[in-house]
Amino acid sequence: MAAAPPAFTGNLKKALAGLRRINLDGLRWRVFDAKGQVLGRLASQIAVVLQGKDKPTYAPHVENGDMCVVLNAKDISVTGRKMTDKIYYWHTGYIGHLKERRLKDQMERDPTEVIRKAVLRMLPRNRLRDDRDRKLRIFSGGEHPFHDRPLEPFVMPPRQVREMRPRARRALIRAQKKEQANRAAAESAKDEEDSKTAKAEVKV
Amino acid sequence: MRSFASNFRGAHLRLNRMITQQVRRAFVSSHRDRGRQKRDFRRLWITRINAATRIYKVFDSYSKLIHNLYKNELILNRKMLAQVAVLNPNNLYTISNKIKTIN
Repeated sequence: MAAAPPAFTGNLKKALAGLRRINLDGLRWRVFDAKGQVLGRLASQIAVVLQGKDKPTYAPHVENGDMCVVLNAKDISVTGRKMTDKIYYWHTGYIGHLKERRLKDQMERDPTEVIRKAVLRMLPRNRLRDDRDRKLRIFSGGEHPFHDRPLEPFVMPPRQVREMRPRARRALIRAQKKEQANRAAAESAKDEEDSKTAKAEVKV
Repeated sequence: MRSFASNFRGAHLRLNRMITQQVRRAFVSSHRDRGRQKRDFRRLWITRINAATRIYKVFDSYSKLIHNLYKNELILNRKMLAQVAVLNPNNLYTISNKIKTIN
């Protein structure tokens, strides 16, 4: 019950859309914080929770996944050059109309769509997919209108980060050394200025 | 054969030609699916055991659990005892503790 102002009256409708359609509320509300998470790895965890595959009462014909609330969607990160180079393609159906959009532009337009696409494409394509989509609520900021529900934060499982390849590691070390050199140069420049001003004061 | 088809839909239960076809198809799919049933249920049990081990026990996954079970020759636990996971989670704890102590 934080002092989070109900600051998104416009999106409130979208956030609460179709809540009535979702049947059982024996479901938990899991909160995912996307800040600093890698896009695909977060999305696969969300997809597992959304299908209800982390419950021992899983049944493939029944939709029993938990409600997933994702916060800070605009702070999601991707590795490599995907920010500029990952392109979403879609075809409108008319001949020659293959449209594309880059991740960067999509994040500017609507950062929630990035996560939503990632998760939806990880769910099995069956009749339960739309219901699962309805259970997924994504917010680009950190505020959501669900404060009166019993929310449970989701702890991401520990990740095994792959060891850096030698060339990448060398590049990283070079970049660090460069930073240190720059910082040292900046400090020495500051010291010179300070000493100059000190001399000026002394003279005066 | 007409009586076998007595709960089919529309023309499939009234017209002789359709009855013969549909009854044949029904037998074929039932034969095929009896084999499939075994596969499907085993899949379901495995998913359920996986979920249960991730929630309750210290074994991080189904694969590790099964590996430990086989190592300790607890062959009694067929996949069917995913029922154990659903109904009696406490027994899962006892099983896992037994495995760990033997280990």
